[in-house]
Parts: sequence; C-alpha cells; structure tokens
Amino acid sequence: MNRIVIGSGIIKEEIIDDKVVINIEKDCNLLIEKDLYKKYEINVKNANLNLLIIKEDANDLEYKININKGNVSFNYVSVNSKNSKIEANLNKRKSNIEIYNSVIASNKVNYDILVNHNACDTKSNIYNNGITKEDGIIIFNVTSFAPKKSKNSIINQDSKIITLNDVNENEINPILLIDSFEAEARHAAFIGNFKEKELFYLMSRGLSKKEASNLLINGLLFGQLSICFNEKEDLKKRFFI
Amino acid sequence: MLEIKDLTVKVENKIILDKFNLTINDGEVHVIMGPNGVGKSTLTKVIMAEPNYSVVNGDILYNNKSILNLTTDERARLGIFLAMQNPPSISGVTNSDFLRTALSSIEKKNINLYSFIKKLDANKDDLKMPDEMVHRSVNKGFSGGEKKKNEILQMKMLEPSFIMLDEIDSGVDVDALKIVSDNINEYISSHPSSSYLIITHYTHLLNYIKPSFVHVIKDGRIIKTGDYSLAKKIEDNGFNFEKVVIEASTGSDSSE
Repeated sequence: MNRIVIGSGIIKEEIIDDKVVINIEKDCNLLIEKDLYKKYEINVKNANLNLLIIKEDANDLEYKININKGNVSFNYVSVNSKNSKIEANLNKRKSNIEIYNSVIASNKVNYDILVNHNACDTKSNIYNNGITKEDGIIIFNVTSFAPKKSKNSIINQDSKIITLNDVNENEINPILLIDSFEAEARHAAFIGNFKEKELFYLMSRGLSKKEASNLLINGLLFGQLSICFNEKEDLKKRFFI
Repeated sequence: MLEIKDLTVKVENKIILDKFNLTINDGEVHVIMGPNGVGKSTLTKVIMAEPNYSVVNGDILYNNKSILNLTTDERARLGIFLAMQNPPSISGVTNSDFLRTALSSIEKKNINLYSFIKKLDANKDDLKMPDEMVHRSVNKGFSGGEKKKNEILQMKMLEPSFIMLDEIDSGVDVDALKIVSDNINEYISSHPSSSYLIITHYTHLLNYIKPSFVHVIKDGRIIKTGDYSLAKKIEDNGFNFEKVVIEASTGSDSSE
C-alpha cells in the first residue's frame, strides 16, 4: 500500500491556528507520523481514505474527521501518548468510518473517541485494543451519538484492554446516545488477561507460553488494523513487546 | 507409543476418569465411543495437559516415558496433537502466522518461507480450502466444516506422531466429512508409524476411517473393546449398554 506522507508536500495542507487541515476529494492512503503538529482536521468528500497514524510519547493529540459521503479507515497506533481525542462527524448519507485504535501504555493514557451520526444510513465501527505494561493504565471513553435524523445507522464499539502488569485502574466507558428508533447499536468491552482457552490452543501446537502471548499481543495490536501485510510486519518488529 | 495406566482424573471435585487403562501402539487407530458426559473429551484434554484437569492417580507414558510433568507445549513438541471439538477463534492472528510460529517452535529453527508456503498451499488444496483462509484470523468466522478442515490442515503441517481427533465429524456436512476423512486416510498412509485416538458419537466417520479397535466408555472406564462391528452394534442399538455388551460378547469381538 503506497501512502502519501503528511508533511512531504505531495498533498496540500493548510495550517490554521496550529491545526493542520487536509481536504480529501479523491481516494488515497495517508500516513501521519513524524510531524510536530498535534491537531488535525481531515475533511473527506465523496472519497475513500485509509489513514495510518503512528505516535510515540506524544501528548494532547486531536483528530477531527468530517465525512461528507465516503469511507474512512482510521488506523491509530500510539505508544505512551497521553490524552488523544478522536472526533468523527458522519455528515451525509453513506458516510462510514472504521476506527482501529491500538495502544501500548507504560504510563497513564487517556483516549476520548466520539462519533456523531449526523445523517441517516451511516456506519461506524470502533475497535480499541490496548496493552498495559509497567505502570500503564488505559482509559477509553467511547461515545457514539445517533440523533433522530440518523435513521438506519449502524453503530458498533468493541474495546479490549489486556493487562500485562498488576495495575487494576483501567477503564472502558462505552456511551451509546441513541435517539433514533431505527438505529442499530451494540458494544462489547473486556479488561483482563488473554483467555486460557486461547493460550491452551496455541500451546497445544507447540508454542511456549511466551511465544503464544507474543502472537496474541501482535494479533491484538496490529493484526486487526486495516493496513497491508508489510505495514503490519513493520509495526510488529518496531513495537515488539 | 501411548500407555495410560490407572488414570484417575478430577474436574471441580468430580471424578471423570476412574482408573482408566488404554494402550495404543505404533500404527494403531483407536476409537472411543460413548454417550455425552462420560469422559471422552476429558481423556484427550488430560493427555494434552489442559490446566483445568488434574490427575489424581495413575500415569501417561509416551514412548515409555511419563509425560505427566510436561506442559502442553512440551507434549506438543514431542509429537502429540489434539484436533479440538470446538477450537477457539483468535482475532488478529492469521492462520499462516500461527502455523509458521508453531513449526518454528517444533523444529527449533526458523522456517524457510518458500518451503513453508509450498507445503501450506499443497495441504490447503488437498483440503479444498480457499486461498484467503490461510490469511484470515484463526477460526474467526469459520463455519463448522471450515474449523474442522483447519484442524486437519494444522495436523498435516505439523506432522505429529500421536493424533487425537475429538469429534472431528461433528458440525461437518457430508462433502466436508469426505474431504476431512480422505485427508486423514492419506496421512495414515504416509505416516504408517503414527497412532490415532478418535472420539466420536457416530459411525459415519468409521465408514471412511477403519479403526484397529473400538472402545465403549462409561463412568470413566472402558467397559467394552471390539472392532468395527462393535461400532455398528452401537449404531443399531444406541448406547444401550447391556445389549451392546451382551451381543458383542456372543460375537467374535475381543473384550477387555
């Protein structure tokens, strides 16, 4: 998957009040990684966007995505990045977003994710997957809002935190604000260790407990991202736990 | 190959296997039949060292050495394999990643990617599995038949020497059962010293795979051993034990 790197000059960006504004009107794949900006506004109009964001030790990050018809895959990999805010506005029919939020935390990190279904026939899937180690604590606040006008919208939240440390202060707060009788909404949340049945299955094929755990960690953090195989392999090598 | 001696197994303070004895020699195919809840699956899980099952008494010998103190992965690396009745689905871990890691663990070396892909493709084609299944998450969204084919794919890739098939015929349609059975038979032919322990409720599978011995289990013990004709008697009479045991005893079957 070829990606246009934000900041490389290939795609036109505007800087307004310390915020990077990007307008997408044709299908593209973007990468946000080594940049100094903390606030982004991405406006998608009649286009499909696959976005990969990789952040390490960055604080107070904000991403706002406005979709006026189109599909967005928002892949966010963050390591020890405190206080991230993601807001998506699905403003027209057939506006869809998939958020894949993969988090490695060695300290306390907080993620506020909000999706507003501002039109009918919109769809959002939010997948938060986190691993805590050392002093890591993860807080996922996930809000999906479906007002009356969001008829036939589909909303899904799925959040999982696997604790590799002894700190028991993780939180998943799924909030579904559903005013439309004809919207479909569901959520799932899990905090804990890997399931014994999964570990047993992998070990029954010859993997040691450490190898099985590493496979499950990589699968949780990177296996579910909507990116290509090579990108996943690079991320596994780079963020090997 | 595998010898189970006076094995008593407890789960949540309930005795499931009670002084259970069974010997499986190289190249033999043993079938265990019995109604639900008599300890058939427990037997396979205890051989594979599932942590929820505790051995109270007895021993399990594999190639004349006790394996009771070995962990699940250590037993797997010796060549013991369990095709599970309900294998779990694992999001994000692809079949190919899983198999390559497992092969590296068993062979204790990095696996050559080219030879791995070649072997995987050949086995996948034998099982008539679509190309994309090897790149999908392990068992995620698989149908019953696809899960069972995936178990057999793993068996063919890892090439174990003692294979337990726990209800490999449940949730499988007739076409998939034929494919699964053909692949098991092909494995039996190409690995003549391997041994098999097959758990089943039905004789459909045994129409394809011919057993060396059929055992009937009740209350955690083998109550009758015979050949394929014992399985046919069970099919005709159900697990009506008195009738099965009496008829089998008057026939030409061997009994314990």
